[in-house]
Amino acid sequence: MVLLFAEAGWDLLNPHNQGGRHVRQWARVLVGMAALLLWASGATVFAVGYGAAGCGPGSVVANPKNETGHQAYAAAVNMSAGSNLYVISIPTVQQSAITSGTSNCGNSAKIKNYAAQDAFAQSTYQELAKEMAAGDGETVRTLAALMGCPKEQEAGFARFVKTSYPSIFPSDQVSSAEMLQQLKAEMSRDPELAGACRSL
Amino acid sequence: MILFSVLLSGLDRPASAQAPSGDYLASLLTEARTRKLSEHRYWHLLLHYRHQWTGRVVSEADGKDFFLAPNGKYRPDAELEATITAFFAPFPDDPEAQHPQCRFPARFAWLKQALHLDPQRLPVAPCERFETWRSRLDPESATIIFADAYLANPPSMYGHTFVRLNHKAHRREERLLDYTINFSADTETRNGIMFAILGLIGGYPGRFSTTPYYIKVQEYTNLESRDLWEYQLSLSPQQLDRLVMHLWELGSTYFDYFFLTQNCSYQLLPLIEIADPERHLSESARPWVIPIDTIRTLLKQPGLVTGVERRPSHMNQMLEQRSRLTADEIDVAEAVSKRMDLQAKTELDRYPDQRKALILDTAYDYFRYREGFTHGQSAENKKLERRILLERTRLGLQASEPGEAVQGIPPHNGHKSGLASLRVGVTRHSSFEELAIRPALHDLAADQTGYLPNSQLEMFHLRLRYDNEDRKPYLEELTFLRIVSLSPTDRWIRKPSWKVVSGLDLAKELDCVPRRCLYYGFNVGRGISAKTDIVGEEVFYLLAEADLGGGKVFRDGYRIGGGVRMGLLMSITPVWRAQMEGAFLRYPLGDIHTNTDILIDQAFQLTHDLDLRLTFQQETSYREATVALRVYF
Repeated sequence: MVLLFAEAGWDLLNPHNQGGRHVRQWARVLVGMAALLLWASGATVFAVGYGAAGCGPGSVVANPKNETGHQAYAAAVNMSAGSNLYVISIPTVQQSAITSGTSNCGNSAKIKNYAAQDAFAQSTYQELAKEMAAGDGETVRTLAALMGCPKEQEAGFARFVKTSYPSIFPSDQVSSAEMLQQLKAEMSRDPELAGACRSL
Repeated sequence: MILFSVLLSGLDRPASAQAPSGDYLASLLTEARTRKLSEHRYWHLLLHYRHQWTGRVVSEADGKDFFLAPNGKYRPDAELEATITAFFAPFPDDPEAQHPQCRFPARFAWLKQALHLDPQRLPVAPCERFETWRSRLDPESATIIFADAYLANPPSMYGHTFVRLNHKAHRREERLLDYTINFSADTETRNGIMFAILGLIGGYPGRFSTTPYYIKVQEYTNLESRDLWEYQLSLSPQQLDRLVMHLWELGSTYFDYFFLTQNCSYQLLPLIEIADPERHLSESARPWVIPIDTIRTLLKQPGLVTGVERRPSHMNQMLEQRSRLTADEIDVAEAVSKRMDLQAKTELDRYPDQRKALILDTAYDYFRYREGFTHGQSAENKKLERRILLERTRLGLQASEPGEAVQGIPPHNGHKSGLASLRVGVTRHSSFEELAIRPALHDLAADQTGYLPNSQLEMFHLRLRYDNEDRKPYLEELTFLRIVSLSPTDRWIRKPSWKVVSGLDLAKELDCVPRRCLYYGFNVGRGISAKTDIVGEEVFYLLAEADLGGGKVFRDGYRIGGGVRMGLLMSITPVWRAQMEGAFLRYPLGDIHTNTDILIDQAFQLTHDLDLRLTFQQETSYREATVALRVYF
């Protein structure tokens, strides 16, 4: 690209260069310039990819509609002006989980727990997979808390998920919801965890 | 409530005669008026009133529903009376509708104290929805979090700040489940230029939102590779309860969002003042607000910030882990990460379990970094991922060999944000003095402590010179924006190095009189850079650039061209940095000519916020040598 550009540049400086050839050379230069500009700006700038919540004109409340491709999650907050309805709902890509899950304050605590587990597992799926395989970590301990396991059981939970890893992830195509389902099935077969963890 | 009483100590209510209950409202209004409650600092905090330079009081809240009086935005007294009156409204029949006492719980709580409201004569409304919501936050402490700067996205260039409310019921290890408070512009625009313009003039509504911390952690540390810095605040649960009540009030409103002034950080300080009105935080001398300065403001408060912890990004975690591997182990980790085939497995098996665990963890982190955090990855990726993780499960309960946690240098330790500089210099024909000011933020030769390494971010850099020969002042430079981001090529990390510059400059290479040299220039570049550790730390860079200029100084009024720039950035000692750069630019369109630029800049850090620069600069036939004393403020 740079070569093309430089070549065009030299041509224009040629003292014999006159008249009609100008148009073509202009075109070549402009094409070169445009390509270079595009290439350079592709590096980064001003292409606001996922709505990075930052500090400035582009810091957006992440918009759930745009999140299908990647994991930038919606700041799923129900705030409608005027009614003062300001209910924190559990964020998830699946909007259904929001509506059926937690934004309705009338739902039972149990359903809220499930929604919270779902949302958490979905958002942190890859971290969970890694920490479950390793048998410890912050994310896996947090999941233990969401499962209602008491603090004493956290380490046991982390060990348990490690040993049951192949059953919790029976294939390489397991969704976070399926993973949770498998995990709970495995836990309910474990006498200790089944008794201790309240939100299975 | 003890603090609350302290707060109200100036407001001791005169013993008033018992009024008949029907007149209770009237007597409260009279009392509020005689005691000038509407001028009380806390009322102004609750309504976000500010004194404008004209002396007029205006609330910064822009949503109409935030006010109960039609002119409440401008009239604290009218708003106070409307609020007291509204508290007497009959309870609504519809359980979804909210009584004013429930819409504005912080105002109600404050007035209850200030006016000693009598629940017999002013029935207290049940606020089921608010209480449910409050129980979800119920903080025992709060943490303010700074997300490192992210140059690739304009709104994140200066970093970001938000607050985390640490729920009473959550253990220390469950902080991921806590909710955060964010103030951000609410927009669906994806057009970068519209963004920038509307962001500067307040064209977007800024809203508060609450998001679980784990979402924020995903977003910053995984998707954007930004470290998070968690500054613990010493606010008490009672103080935080006031913050939570006020947050509920803010849910119904918005504030026009100004990129440079009323931004995410600006709005966090009033929240902390609401919690602890003894602290005066938001009366800054500067019109602009830079997130890290907010943190510095908090740090200046005695006893407010009790500690800071780093949460490294996925990328940094991976690099820190890799730095604990030997060269052979890194090769194995790469093979595992990219193939995890029989050969990789054989190589891996040569190591003891503890090393194996470390190699596998690093390999997985590299896999994840390379393939990204997106859902719906290819079937091959998922197979590979599973092979790596299954191998990891086979290691029994072997933890990976523990290493020392990297503490890092917290961003507030960097030099201050503003810069003022005094420079003297000579050219071949003359000498000059120069005064310069730059509101933000950092340049390549400056000390990098606390900043993104090898990066430059300048905004509104103004340099004025006085020519001793001509005896006339002139504008040397007004840079609107200059970003340089050099990311040295790493075996595992391939990020482009790039730059963008926009601003007024002098075309001295054309041998013009400085005052007639002014033009507007726009320049973008992209290329590569590499790092070595021969002397101290050296970063070599090579950029291809496109360059546009417009101004009377040029024949036909413009020039368009491009070329290459190469340079070397060195940390020679901890207090001595140098930048050497050469550029060759050719302009085939407009004013046809060629430029050869040379820059040699040496920076000596004298104290934390003071540095000395020795600079030589050549622009084709023009040369200057200068010495500058620069103060960060």
